[in-house]
Amino acid sequence: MRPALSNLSMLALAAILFGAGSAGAQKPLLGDLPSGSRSRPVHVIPLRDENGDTIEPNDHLPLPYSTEQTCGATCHDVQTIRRGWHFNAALPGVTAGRNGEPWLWIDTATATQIPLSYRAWPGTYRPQDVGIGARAFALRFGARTPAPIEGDAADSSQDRARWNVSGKLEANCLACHDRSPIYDQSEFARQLGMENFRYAATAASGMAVVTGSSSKMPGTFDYLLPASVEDSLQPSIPRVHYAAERFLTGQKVAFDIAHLADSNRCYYCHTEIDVAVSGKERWKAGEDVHMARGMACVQCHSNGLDHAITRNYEGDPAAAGNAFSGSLSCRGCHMGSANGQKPSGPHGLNAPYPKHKGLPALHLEKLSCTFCHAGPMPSGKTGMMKTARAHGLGEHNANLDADALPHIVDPVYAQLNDGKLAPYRAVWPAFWGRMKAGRVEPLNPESVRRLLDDKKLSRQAPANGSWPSADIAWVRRVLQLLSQSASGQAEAVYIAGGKLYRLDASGDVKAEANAQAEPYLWAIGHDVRPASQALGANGCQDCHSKTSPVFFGEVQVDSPLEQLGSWKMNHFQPNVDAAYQLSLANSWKFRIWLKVIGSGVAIVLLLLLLGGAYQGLVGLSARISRGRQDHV
Amino acid sequence: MLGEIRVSAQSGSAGMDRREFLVAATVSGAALVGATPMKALNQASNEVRVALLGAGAQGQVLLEAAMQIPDVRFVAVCDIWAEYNLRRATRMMKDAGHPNHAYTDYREMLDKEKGHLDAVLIATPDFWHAEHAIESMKAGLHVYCEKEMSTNLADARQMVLTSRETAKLLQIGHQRRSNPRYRFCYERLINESRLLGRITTVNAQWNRAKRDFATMPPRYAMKPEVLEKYGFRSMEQFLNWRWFRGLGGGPIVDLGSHQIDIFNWFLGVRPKGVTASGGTDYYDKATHEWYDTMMAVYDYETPQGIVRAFYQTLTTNGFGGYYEVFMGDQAALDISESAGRGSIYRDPANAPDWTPLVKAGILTAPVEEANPAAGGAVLDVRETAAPPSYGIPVKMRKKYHQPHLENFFGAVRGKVRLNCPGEIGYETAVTVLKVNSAAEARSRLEFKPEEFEI
Repeated sequence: MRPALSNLSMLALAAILFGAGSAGAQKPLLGDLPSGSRSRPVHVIPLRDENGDTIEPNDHLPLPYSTEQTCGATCHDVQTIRRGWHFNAALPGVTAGRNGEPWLWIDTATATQIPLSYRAWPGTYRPQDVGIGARAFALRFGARTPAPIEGDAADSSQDRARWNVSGKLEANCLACHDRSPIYDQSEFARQLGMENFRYAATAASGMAVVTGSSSKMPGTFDYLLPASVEDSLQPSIPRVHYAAERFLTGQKVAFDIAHLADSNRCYYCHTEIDVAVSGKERWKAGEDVHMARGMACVQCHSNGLDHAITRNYEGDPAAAGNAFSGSLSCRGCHMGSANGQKPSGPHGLNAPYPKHKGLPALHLEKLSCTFCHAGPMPSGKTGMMKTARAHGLGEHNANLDADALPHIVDPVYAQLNDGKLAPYRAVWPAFWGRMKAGRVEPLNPESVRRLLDDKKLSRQAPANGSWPSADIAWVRRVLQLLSQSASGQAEAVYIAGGKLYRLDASGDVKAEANAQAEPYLWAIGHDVRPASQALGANGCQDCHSKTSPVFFGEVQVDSPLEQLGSWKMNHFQPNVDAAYQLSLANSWKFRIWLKVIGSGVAIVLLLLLLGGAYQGLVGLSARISRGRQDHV
Repeated sequence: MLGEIRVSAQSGSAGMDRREFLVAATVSGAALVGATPMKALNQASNEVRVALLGAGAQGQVLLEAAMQIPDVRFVAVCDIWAEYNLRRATRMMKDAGHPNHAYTDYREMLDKEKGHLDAVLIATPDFWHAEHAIESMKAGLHVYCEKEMSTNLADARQMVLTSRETAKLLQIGHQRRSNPRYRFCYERLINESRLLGRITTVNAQWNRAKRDFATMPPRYAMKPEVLEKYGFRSMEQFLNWRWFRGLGGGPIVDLGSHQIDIFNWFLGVRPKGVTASGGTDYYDKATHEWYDTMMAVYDYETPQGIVRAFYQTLTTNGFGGYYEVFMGDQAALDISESAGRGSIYRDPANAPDWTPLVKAGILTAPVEEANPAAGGAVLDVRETAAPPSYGIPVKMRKKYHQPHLENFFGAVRGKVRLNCPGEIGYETAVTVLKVNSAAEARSRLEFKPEEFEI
């Protein structure tokens, strides 16, 4: 998710200027004025091309419509929207917040799996710092974000020229707001694969069929004057064929627009599913309890006109100063204010107040709500799962093999950020880099691949899309090659499976621990499980046992090189005393005896007490009888 | 043997396999042999500062190719279509790291950029070439000018004379003359190895599928007064100037000129005469003033004998695309600028064994054709079996115009000779422009030797 990258300083300036404008002087656009109605707004509007001209479907050369122009020309403030969460990743001054799902760049030929993000999430790398320009990013990930992508300084000169051919990726409003059943984001992805950036939204909407492929066009291709390309390329010229029946009087079309995005739209980018059920066993997959109860994503993840959609975790800095946004967390909806009052008001949605029967209050201080209620039920070892963004779920050619890269493992119970234990997903980084000032700077995977291709050292990916076959001997050869290819440069290293590999003085490969080799973790928010399926529903020993997956489980190490076993869950829990937890777990063995003995002692004491009381009552009764006789 | 291979075109080694490298290895050295060094500008940096004059489709093709060449820096661009072409080319340059100044008036550009330019690439409509080239050379710039030199020979002649007077380079954009594949065929296969034997006929074509006139959204239209100032009646005419008399020469000039230039080059002589048949048979004559269909036959007198060369250009059907076939009594060379096409067919009845040539790397071995009998058909004794097809060992992986531009910039630096100086471009113009006249005359027109002289 990233906004225009072409000129950050200009964007910053625009943001400042616009911010000033929106603070007061700027007049709201037509669509940004509330109508006062709860009914869905009707959108019968003209389509506009990227230059703002109205689309004439019967033109000699109909152009694709521009979402930013069509939605933004007179009605919606696109520049403000571009600063919303889904669009602002690369803007300066945007608070990153807690770690989120990264973009995972996979290159099997070089055994690379590197987490990328334009946000400053520790453990991820900025694409441009890895030599990945906006164009390469757009081609790989552009279908999974509604954000505009327009080129950046990391683009190669060839890539920069190709933007003219493909057009830029605009903010795609329809990706979230088009409720039409024929809106097809996988078609958007298909168009991106052909470099038809400026055509993708048009094709996805079903408003037109787009033929041809910009990827086949020469660097001088002019989409407004396409006839100049040679005959053999004519069939590949991108062309738009509008569905005439969609055009109403005045060349207007009707969009089925929802101001609250349909959950189906969210799912295209935000589906997360266990590998075991991601393919043909999909029907076995569960569902988030909120969705099962009929809620929609946007009821919690909501936003105003600024599109500052909430992330719904406690302490989100983006929600600071906005009590309403800040209340949209598990605790906010289900437990109300800090004084434990039941939530009320329009946003409570009558969320059930948790009984947490028998649960010591300590748990609510040490654990996040998601610890017990979100993600897959833990077992002894972590499993693997797929996400829409990482695995292209929803695309026709998505590789659903359980072992297909990237490998995301979960749940990992870790303490990050606020110190509370929470479930996380993890990816083990694997990449080539150079040591500089004690840190590993990743090398551009494409450059490494070209180097390896030249020397026939590239790895062949297996058919299932998993790691290629690779071993230490291969790592040695590549490290030697990287050292030779840039003599005098910083030392070449390889990170994989939680280790850093480097050549020692004798030329052997040495593996060692390194912080950058540790898995990148991001919090699990979904699927949320109800109380009956939460940790603890079966009793305390869901967690407090010697085999507790949350304290003594194992995190499977993922590496292309070798089976490295697993890491103990406790590695990720710096403030959890494993010995204490073990003692606590062991104490449950004796608890039954403690209860029996305690109960026995209590019974004896009770009997003694009752006996004493009986004796006392008898004595008292006798004394009363004697007193009466004396009186008579 | 491989070390003896010589190809006098500029080429790089990037992307070449071993054989290509060996073939191209002598390129630079050979190119230097006999070169007439010009005084290079900016010798300290080796940088050539360039302007683009005419930033339409062809200008952008030249721009894209030139920007691949090291030490070529674009500093200015001029186009009358400020609303579109100029903006687009400016952006292309900036995106590629060439900050530039944009102009709509070439005179202003020559004036303001005086002292900051070494060369200019001209890709304006044909009828502007002469003025632009002449004024640029007078302003002290070396000129790379797209073909056709002009719509009339008088202007083309004046371009050459100005080049001589100003001692400025004038390269004409017949880019096949620098294409390493063409140069290899000319130098090694035709001249040195005499692979074709005696050339008897040539057959070439450039067929294009039917196309509509180019159009643009009205918002980009130039003002009528601007169009009129520069010689155009309308935006439609501006966008499709190649079809209009006085502005261009029609398909025979646009397309045919490149290939008919190869006739002259490969045969080594000028034509003696030409007959032609053509007309606007398909499109509306009101819009397509030049002929949409043209077939021409040249006759040449080579030292080995008469050669007849057929050329056709159709704009209503693209079958066969574009190619040139030179046929001799021992073999036929089928070549095209299209990188996917290029073969030599050995006539088994008359040609010597080519195995040594294959071993020497001058040819690549033919791919075994499937046995036609295997399909159940029996070859009739009266049929001629398809001759084996040998390959050309030189690959062209650069953009089509890049080697020709490299040759030009090499000449600007004084390192090589131009592959297509104005004199050659003029000869081609004489050869090509007469086709339209022959079609109108409906008879064979002769070329007088003095027509080619300047």
